[in-house]
Amino acid sequence: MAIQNDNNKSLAETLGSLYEPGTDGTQGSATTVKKSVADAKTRTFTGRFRSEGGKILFITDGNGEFEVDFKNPPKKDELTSTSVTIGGVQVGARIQQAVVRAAPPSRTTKRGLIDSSMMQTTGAAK
Amino acid sequence: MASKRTENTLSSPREVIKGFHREISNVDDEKESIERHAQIAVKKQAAEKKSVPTVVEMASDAAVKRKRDLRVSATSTASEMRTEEKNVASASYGSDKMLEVVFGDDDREPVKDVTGVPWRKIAALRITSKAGRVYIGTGWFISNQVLATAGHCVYLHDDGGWPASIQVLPALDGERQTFAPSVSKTFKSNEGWVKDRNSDFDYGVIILDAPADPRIGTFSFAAFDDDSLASNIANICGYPADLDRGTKQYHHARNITRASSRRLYYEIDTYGGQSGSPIWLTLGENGERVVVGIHTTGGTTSNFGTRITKELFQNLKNWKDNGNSKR
Repeated sequence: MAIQNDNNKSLAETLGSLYEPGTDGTQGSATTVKKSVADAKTRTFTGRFRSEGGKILFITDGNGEFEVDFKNPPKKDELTSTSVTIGGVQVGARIQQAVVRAAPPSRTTKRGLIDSSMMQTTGAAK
Repeated sequence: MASKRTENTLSSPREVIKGFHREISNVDDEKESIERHAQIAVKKQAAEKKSVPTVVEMASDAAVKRKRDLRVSATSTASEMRTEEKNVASASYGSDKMLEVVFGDDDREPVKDVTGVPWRKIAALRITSKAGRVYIGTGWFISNQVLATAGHCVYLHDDGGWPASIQVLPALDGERQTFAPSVSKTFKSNEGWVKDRNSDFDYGVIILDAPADPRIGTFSFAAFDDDSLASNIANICGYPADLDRGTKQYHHARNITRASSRRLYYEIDTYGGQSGSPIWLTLGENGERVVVGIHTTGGTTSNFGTRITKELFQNLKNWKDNGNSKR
């Protein structure tokens, strides 16, 4: 049984008896994945931009992935940049939001995500 | 050791596990050992009644005992001198085989706030063998009283088997301990690892005497099929012994390169001390982290861990559900 990207089903429904849910304890959870760039600490990632489904993604060299929301339509040279600085200058100055998406991995593109709260703790995005 | 046992097929989630995955705990082993010694003592007493030793035999016994005492003394001295904490894998796999590879540049990143999710669900382990040697490992909470880890963290094949104790330090961050540490003396693993030393079954659990801090939480875990694992990005976080002496969490994520029937292979950078770390995927709309394997070993071409199969899943679930029971 492969995990399908079916938003109508929970993981428990998809995986059935071979899934055991955990808890996040009582100290809150880390499900918030958006943060204004202005509030983010400066950090530079290397990688490349990719346009996918009307969204602009930045795929880091470590196979992490941001959805990048520009203040204005991005310029061509920005999209050919191989690095992005969140919360600083370079391309980051024009980025409205850097969103670490918490979407299921795509089976077609074989692409996944780095852990979103790792990005939070390094100040990239929340 | 040759074995004709085969893995059982589960017909229901509550079925008792047999074969390689059959549960073994140090409590069982100690009971068995006491019974075995009692039987030996009875046999010895019976034999002594039958024959009185000669003077030559008594002298010979005394010489053997003196030699044994000298060996014990030397061993004790050596163990006392070795106070440095070591990578726990060296107690089962040997240091030459335990490469725990960093591939190319070291991409491991320190976790800045270990009190957040999921980091606080990961604990540093200080494993003390019966000989007094201390090893570094990693575990992760599946219930507030049970931590999953590598089999070689709870059964040290080359250093006395079951450890004397394991100190569990949830979300250890240098010298900072947000959550109270605890010491456990109850461990469980499986026949494949304990009896057969088969690295395909390198997993176990640590049972705490009392529930840990309720703020910590627990990891989800699941048995996934090959398609769902292959080429997806997995995360590993633990306490590598080569950085900060195993007192700080480091994280890295990369693709799973291959999934065999009982192992997951990847090029995620790890090092000794991270044995027992969770291997998790981030899934669903809320980015839920689901553990799909337990990191165990390094290799020249890839690192790998024990895959959560349905049998392993069932053992973890049984241990989670019966965490309050030592048996």
